[in-house]
Amino acid sequence: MLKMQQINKIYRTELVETHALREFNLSVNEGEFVTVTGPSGSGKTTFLNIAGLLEEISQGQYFLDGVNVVGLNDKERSRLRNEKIGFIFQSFNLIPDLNLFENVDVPLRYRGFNAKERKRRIEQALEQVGLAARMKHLPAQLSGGQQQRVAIARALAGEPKFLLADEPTGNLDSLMARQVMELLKNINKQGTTIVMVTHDAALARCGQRNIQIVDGQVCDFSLYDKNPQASAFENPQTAASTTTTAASIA
Amino acid sequence: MLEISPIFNAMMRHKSHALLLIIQIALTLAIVANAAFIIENRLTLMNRDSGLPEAQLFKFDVFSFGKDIDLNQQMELDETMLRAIPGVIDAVTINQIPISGSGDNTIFMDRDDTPNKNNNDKNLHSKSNTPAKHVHTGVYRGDTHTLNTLGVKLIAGRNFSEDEIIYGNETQPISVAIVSKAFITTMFPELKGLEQQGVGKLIYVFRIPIKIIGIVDKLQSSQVTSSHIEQTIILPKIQTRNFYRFLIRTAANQQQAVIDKVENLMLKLYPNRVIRTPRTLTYLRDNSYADDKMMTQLLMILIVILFLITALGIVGMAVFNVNRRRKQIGTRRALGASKGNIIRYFMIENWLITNLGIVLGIALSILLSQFLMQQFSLPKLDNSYIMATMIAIWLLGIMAVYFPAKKAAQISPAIATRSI
Ligand SMILES: Nc1ncnc2c1ncn2[C@@H]1O[C@H](COP(=O)(O)OP(=O)(O)O)[C@@H](O)[C@H]1O
Ligand SMILES: [Mg+2]
Repeated sequence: MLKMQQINKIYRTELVETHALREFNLSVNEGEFVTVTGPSGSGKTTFLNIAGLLEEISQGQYFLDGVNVVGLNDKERSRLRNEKIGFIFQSFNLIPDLNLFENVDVPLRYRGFNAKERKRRIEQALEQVGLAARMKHLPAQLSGGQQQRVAIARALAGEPKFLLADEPTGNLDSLMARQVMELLKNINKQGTTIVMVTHDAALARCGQRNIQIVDGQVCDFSLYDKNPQASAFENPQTAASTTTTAASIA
Repeated sequence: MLEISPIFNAMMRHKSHALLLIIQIALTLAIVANAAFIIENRLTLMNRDSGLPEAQLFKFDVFSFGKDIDLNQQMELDETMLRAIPGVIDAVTINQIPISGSGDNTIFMDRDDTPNKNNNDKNLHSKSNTPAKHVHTGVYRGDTHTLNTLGVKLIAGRNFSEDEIIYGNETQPISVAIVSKAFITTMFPELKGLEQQGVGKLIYVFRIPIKIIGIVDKLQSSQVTSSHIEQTIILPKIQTRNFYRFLIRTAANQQQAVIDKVENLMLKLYPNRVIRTPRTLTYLRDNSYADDKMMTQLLMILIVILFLITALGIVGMAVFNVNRRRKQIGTRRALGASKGNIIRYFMIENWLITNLGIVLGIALSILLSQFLMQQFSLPKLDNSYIMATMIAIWLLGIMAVYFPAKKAAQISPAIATRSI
């Protein structure tokens, strides 16, 4: 499903060069639910952005659903994002000027579905997250948990093979977080591959596999079932990024 | 894939943002369409053909204070002398100068309709129910040289003969006249297209019948602002006054040379007088149309300023919207929008705003035009001006929004995960 080989990602600014990912290797199989943990600044979001084609890689190989994405142009990358990937963001990223129906509609329009097909998918997706009754509401009229459910509906409506979530429960209280996690688990059961970044060790155990990123590298990965104590870096402070020294100096 | 409805809905949830720009576009359309129309009207006025060889003509005034001469005779002597100057084609004493801005007018009628108590035979005329036709007419007075000096073309009939010219001290009434073609069509609309047949017709002024003996193709009066400018008549009369005026026609390249020596020659002929203000017809035209020229220039500046302000308004609005929506743009990109989709979003949004402004602007244009018609008796605004301005605003909008939209497309999709 997802295969990254020897990926390097370097951010260059005038003063510093940050090696956000180094010799990064990872494979995710179809239908897996992978959680990603690691200290702050270790490269989790960078990994997710690259996986989701939001950023280009500096070096290495990346195959998404068998497609080599290196060298694709903007249009092809956008199309691939739209068809294969669903995004769930920490801060929901609903468009405030659009009601729920219109928000879920956004990726479907880029996909080019006709109005009837879009309507069917939107209603079904909102149904799935339990918010079909509030289609005409604006995001601001919803609680955080509800907003994140709408964002999930938006990610699901295009029926992507691959769901990427960056701290999806980071802005939610624990009850709402649990609801969102249940939803994700259900979605995964129906066959969608999920990669979720989280700093919460308990949530990390919800996946079938947890990987840890430290200093831009996969530090250790193990099936959670085999190794219940897998989370070596539960406390971000103990794992402060040390190799991005240039960034620290700046 | 049309995205109009969600863009429109999102816009409507921020009405106040778009409203100012909509009003600005509407006002621009209304003002520019009307201003362009006024400019075009003025330019048409200014570029009207006077029918004269303007580059060949100049005038000057004579004020005689000596009491020791026969003015009548002196005018004859002056004319003879002026016509003999090398480079002069012809010269004439004339009461008014075409397109100079001021001169004589009177009303001519197609019949004598004044009730006449003494003569019942006049009932002949009152048999016809329609009232006499009144035609405002610019009146020239001159001698047999008038046509040649003015350089106008006789299209029917003949010039005055010398014995038809009435000099100041003679008392017989004027009985013949030469008129412009436009005079004929106005006085006798039934002769439209057959103006030549106007020769021999009688017209009346102060109950005096005057026979039309000649028709010139075109001769404007002095009153450039008058709607009656084309209706003119030449009467065979030389008034004797100590203030009189000459119109001189020279070869165009000789004009300045003649102007330079005319005062000396006039004073040499008779010294007790003042020669004043030699003016070329080109000068008089510029002077007469100075207000129109200034008006057109001001309106052109106004149009440029309005377009600039509107373009800036559109750019400002687009930049504001791009910055306000940076995260939204990143999110849309993450959800599958290509750079083209982002550019299109802003283009469509701007196009919607422009169209709303245009719809309002069309209504405003018509209102403004009606106001101008009432207040300044301008003609009705032609729809083509609204159309042309509309297209200009569309193009302006597309150009103004393109660069901010392109900037929006450059926003990295990573902003969706990187910003809070
Ligand atoms: N656009 C960028 N420009 C420069 N440095 C960046 C940029 N984005 C991320 N980084 C740096 O890359 C490193 C990894 O960041 P990130 O992937 O966001 O970490 P995490 O999500 O694990 O906290 C950090 O040192 C961060 O400062
Ligand atoms: Mg992060």
